[in-house]
Amino acid sequence: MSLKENELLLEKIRSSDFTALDCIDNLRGYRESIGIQHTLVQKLRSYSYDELEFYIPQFVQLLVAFETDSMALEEFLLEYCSKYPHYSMVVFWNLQSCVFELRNDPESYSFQVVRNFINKLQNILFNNEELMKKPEFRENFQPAIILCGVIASAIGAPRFNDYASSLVRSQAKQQKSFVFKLANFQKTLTKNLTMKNKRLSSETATETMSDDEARKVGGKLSHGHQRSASVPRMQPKKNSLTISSDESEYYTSDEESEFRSSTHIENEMSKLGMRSENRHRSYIEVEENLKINTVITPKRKNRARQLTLDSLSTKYEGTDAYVSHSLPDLSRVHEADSQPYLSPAESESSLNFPHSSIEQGLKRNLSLHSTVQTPSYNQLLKVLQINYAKKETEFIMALQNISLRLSSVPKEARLSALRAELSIINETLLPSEIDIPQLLPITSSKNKRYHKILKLSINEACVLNSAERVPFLLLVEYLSDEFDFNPFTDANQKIIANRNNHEETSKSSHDLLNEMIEGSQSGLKSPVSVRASTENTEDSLVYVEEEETDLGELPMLTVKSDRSFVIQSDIERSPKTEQDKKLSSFPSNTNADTTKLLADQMRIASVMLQQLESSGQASSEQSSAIKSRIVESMISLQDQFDTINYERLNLLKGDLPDAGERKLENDFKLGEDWNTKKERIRKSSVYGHLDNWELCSVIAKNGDDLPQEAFACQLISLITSIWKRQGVKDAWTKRMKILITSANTGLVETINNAMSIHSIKKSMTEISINDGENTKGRIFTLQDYFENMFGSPTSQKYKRAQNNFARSLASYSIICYVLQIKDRHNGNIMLDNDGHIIHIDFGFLLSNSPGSVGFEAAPFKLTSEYVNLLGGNESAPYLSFVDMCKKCFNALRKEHRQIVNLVELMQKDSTLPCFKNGENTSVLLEQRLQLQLSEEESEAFVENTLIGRSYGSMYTRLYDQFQMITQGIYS
Amino acid sequence: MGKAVSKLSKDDLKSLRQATYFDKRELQQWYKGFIRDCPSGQLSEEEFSKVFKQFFPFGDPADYCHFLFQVFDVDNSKYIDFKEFIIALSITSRGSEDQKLNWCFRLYDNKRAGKVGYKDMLAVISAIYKMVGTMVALPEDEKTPEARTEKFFRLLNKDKDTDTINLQDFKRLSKLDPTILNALNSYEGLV
Repeated sequence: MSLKENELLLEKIRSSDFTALDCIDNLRGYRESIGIQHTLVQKLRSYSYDELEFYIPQFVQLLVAFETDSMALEEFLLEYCSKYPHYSMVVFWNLQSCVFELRNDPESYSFQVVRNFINKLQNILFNNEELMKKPEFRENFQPAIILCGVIASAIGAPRFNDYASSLVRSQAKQQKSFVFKLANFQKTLTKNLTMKNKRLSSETATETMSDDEARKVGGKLSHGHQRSASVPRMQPKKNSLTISSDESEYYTSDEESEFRSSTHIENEMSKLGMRSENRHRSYIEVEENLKINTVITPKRKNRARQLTLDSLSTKYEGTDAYVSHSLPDLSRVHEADSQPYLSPAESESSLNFPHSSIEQGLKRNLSLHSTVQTPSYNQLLKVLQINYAKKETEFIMALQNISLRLSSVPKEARLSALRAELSIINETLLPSEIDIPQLLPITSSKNKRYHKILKLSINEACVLNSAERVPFLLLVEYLSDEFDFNPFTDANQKIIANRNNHEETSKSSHDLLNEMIEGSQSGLKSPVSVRASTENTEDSLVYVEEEETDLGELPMLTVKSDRSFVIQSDIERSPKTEQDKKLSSFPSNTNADTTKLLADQMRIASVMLQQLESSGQASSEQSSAIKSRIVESMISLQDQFDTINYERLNLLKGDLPDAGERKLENDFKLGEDWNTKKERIRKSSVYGHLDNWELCSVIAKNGDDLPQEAFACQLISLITSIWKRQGVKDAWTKRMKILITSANTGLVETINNAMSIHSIKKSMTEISINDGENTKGRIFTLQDYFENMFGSPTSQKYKRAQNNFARSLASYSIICYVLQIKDRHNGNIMLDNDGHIIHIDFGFLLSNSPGSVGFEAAPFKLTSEYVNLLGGNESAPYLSFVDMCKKCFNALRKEHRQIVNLVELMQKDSTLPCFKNGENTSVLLEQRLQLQLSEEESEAFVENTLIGRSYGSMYTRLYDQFQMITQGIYS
Repeated sequence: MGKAVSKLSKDDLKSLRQATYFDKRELQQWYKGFIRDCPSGQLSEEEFSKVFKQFFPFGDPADYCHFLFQVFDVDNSKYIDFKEFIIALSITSRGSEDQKLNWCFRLYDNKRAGKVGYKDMLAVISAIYKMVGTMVALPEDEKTPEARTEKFFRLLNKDKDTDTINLQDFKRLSKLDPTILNALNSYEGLV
């Protein structure tokens, strides 16, 4: 990099048309230069919050997959996370997904980075102590010599310090691990070995000296052990390559407690995020590795705690290790030998007033642990933010766990089980000061207030698939713009008071010193572990029992362990237990109090079912009889949670045959307009009278494909924004939001007022056959549907719908070609109430396609049915469709770097199936954009090649027929 | 010193404890950090300058590094070893104002004459300006190295063509210009 190039770059960065995506791209490109990284990140801060939230997956990817010495991006993300609660949650969930992907490579740079980052983030999210506040200066030699250089220039050009200071401070925090750079390490190792050999031969005397020292160190180490004897210590020896003997010197006492707290964080992480059916074994391995690595990582200083510990534990005074020395030529020299060790940050002042500063430190720490005395605005704000983060994670985890539990319940009882689970969430967690980041619509971005979730609408919830993965549809009642983080509102004052009380009581059982050691840990307990630990000792019994069968069921057992334990032993002894009789004879009247009871019954029933399954006698006559009785009782319970509209339920459940059911998720809203539905629910809700009452519908999903779906949605959003910028104002796509909440769970926004083409055709055809109007079994066309919905083709309404269809078809056609979105059968294509076409399900794009068969060879799906709907290939709507395709394609060509860059960034080291082609993925993408063509040539390309080949493509018809035959999806 | 062994010997530790504000543990840690990035234990001017290039990509730090390197390299060995590094760090991060000023003066007084003329001053200040480039907004009377250097002499009531500045003037200057003191003490308590 020449200076000239860098100066040009600086000019570009400073210009106003340098976009956030340009920033991201350059952050990827200039990883060597710390100055450039910092300048780019500084620029990032000038973009809107929404834009920066949109690119969270990219920031995470930059952090994880692109090694750099710069701390700028990490600092920026942490800063945003501590400022914005939504930002921190989304980053947190994205990282969890990363950790899972990287689980097999715990020694990689990426894993280390993610792990460190999650540690820091957890501190921000859940930890009330101000551990992060103190500036840190690790033993990083680069920022250290820059610091010297800046001080030296202070006389000549003092103002330059402004620029350098932030760099030095941020780089100083870098935590270089000895594990990261294995190659480097081996180099130094060999070098050290040669050195040692040399030394051995020439300087035997010094060798003995340092051996002596090593012995001392050993003494110190055991000293540290004494204090924490109750905690088993991981043996660093496990990793023989990375740990050399002299490393052990650094395991002094503060390291020890430090180590424990970070191990604890790892455990928390496991509780928080990594709960899923088949992941447990691999996760345990990961956890194992995490622990090992925690030991290897060079110290992470926790000064506040260190100070307290050292000044409190008098037995350390006078120990060699904690002596701080002063320069002999200083005037304020004093005998420091008997002075307890002070952290470097404190030592400057302690040289003057050693004792008072210790006392101050002590007081400060004491006050942190007792009632907070006149807490500052920021401290109160922090309490509220932690309250939010804890409740939010609790809520999202509860939703995730439902899917998992449902998967072990027989199909026919799933709806009942779902309702039971949801009612438990309503009872225990809601209403609460939480929302769903990214999914609940943002009402105002200025002076942002947050939505508050009131309850989950139990009777409207439904299970969507019959597969082993059980997504479910959820209607969330919330108050829009209801709460904020202002510590001085009445409501928030209450929350703060509650939290303080809560912390007080949880503390009373510990003595002070323990408290200090465990300080951060108590704040970190996840909901599940809190619940588990308040349960009686039977917990552990159940844990032991269960560990052999299926770890996935643990959460359910810990909640009601005492009861389920009894039941499970009952079942084993005498299958004809009283329990199921009780179930079926349960009183059928409902009120709020019995809901919990009912829900408990439901859970018990499902635990029983699982026990039955895992007992190995599932096929015996006896057990299947029991099973059907349990299921029966569950079904009989399902409607008792609330008043229910039976007709509607049957309507929905009625036509759900197995075939063609794969992609019917969104079709549940069939037949009822969203606004009508909303009004109906509002009327029946106890909160319905509130002015800012709102309803939102989401699908809770699990499965590996969610990150890819989210990425596809992001690409589509990006493309749509390009069209907007380029003035293609008729372009139309449906904005779809997916919130990733871990590696394979997430929440997906539903598309209201729309149905899949498959369902449209199927229901229309079936209705007409049933009515006897369609004796030949003719399959209805889209045109029939349009006429049905919008009236005569000459009417305004029809024409508007037709125009909407043309606009959206052109947009999605170009998107499908450019991104190679495949598996385009009619179950994956929807039509909304305005005539727009909407593509969903992005399991196949860029480089992967369903099966190995080269179906769907056409550039995009353009059936003769579509063309007929547009009025034939000479009609005005058709011609405007062709024209739009050209405009859309050319606009993308103009800003191709944006799309290609995004894919280039995300494809690195990715395990997503859409990046199967690796580095070629972005190359092929760029080729599809035909950059070598002129604008006129490209228009001809769109018309002749893309539309020409797509129109009535044999392959498209073949694929639809294939789907019709194999999956029952209407063509 | 100068040997890239994995930790400091007892003798080294002892003498460095005398010579710096760091304790034994800190010294060992800094030594590890130093060896990690500079495995030979010896830092040449070229490597030194490379670090500055990383931090100041939008300017040319070579000239400034040349001046600064000499301040570090006390024994004039053309290499910076750990001892030289840690002493400089100790002064700049934990030293008294007086110590810092003494140390800084050596940057400008690179002929070790005990006094600095306008030209010496200008050379160093130009080097700094060259390194930082356009990254910092400057007031009118500091826009160019010349203006900045002239301001210096003006503040001290000296004639830039005939007078020189000695260490005492230097210290007086830091009292006259609050931004200097600010910059000097801006890392207080960080390391």
